[in-house]
Amino acid sequence: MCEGLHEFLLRVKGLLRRRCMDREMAEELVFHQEMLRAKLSREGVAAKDMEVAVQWKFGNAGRWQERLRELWQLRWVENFARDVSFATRLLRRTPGFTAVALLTLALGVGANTTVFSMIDGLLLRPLAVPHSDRLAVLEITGRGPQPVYSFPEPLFRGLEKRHDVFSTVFAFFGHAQLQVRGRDGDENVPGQFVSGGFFPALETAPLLGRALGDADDRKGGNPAGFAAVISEAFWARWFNRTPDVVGRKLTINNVVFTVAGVMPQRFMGADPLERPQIYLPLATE
Amino acid sequence: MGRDGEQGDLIQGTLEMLVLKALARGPMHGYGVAEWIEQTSQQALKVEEGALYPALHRLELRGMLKAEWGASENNRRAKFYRVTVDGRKRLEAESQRWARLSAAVAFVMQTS
Repeated sequence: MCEGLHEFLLRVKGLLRRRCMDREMAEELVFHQEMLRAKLSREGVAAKDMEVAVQWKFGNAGRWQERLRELWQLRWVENFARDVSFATRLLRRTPGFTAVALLTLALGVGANTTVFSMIDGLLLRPLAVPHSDRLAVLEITGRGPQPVYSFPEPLFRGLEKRHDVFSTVFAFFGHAQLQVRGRDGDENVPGQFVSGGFFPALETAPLLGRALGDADDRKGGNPAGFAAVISEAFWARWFNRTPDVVGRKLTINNVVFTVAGVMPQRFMGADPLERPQIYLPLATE
Repeated sequence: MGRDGEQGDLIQGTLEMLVLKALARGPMHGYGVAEWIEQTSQQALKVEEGALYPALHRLELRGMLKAEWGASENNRRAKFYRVTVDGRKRLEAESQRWARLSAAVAFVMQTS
């Protein structure tokens, strides 16, 4: 490791003072040749045979220096620099191709980034509720290769009453299109039906009013009628953020619900792939 | 390295070991290293310049040798090589390896 570093530093030094290195290499070889000539003349070789002898012993000096230089160079750095300059020249010569290539790259990178940040936000990050690591999804197995996440309501009600493993068992039924009656007729709004344990288990405080509880999740609703909880976005769009929204009426699928509370923007229920705007008690489905 | 079929050619690792051995006696320039090896081997080993300088530079790159410019015996500027601590360790290891190897080869060749 240390040896490799030493070598790397020497090579970088060689790269930086390349001309100096070349001169030194040449000087070293010239010195050697001179010593050789002196020795040959001591041995009595005639001056006219000297050059031939030296040439024969030495071979091509240019090729040698090339070999020494190769030994020293940081080949990948130099090759890379050469490749880059070559590529730049080619690209400059064909601006149309360059533009298309750049555009393709830009779009590709952009699309990938978008998709990844979506997946990251939706699937990889834990739910934005406290203790999300202690939540689990139950499934029914043994009915073919695909797990079944959809429980018949009687089965769920049984689980809700009797469970030893979990502190709470709750259910939600999503992807529901709720018909909300407005001034200009009905409007489809995405919503979820949730059991009474849903909001207590997700431990997120409502922005206004109260969340739904066990008392709302009964046939016929709580003693005061049917209650609904709305999202902050729906509150802003439908009620223009009026502070006295709690207690207002909403006619949903021809049933009158009373707004019990507003959930903050960051709350998105138990399924990050959904953005429900209205939460209704499961029993009112 | 060198022309094909020439006698006394040295394989790379062995040449490096001889170079380290030559320089262990004190700093020397490349010509001196070649001369010393040729003389000490009684001309049996010919060190080719085309192999010597790459070997010297390779050892320098690996930190086995340190090079400095100085004045030669005929008062010319010459590049002198000196063995570093790493170089001495390498020489020690290489000579032990060489002793084992040559003894083994000799033993094999002597069996009838």
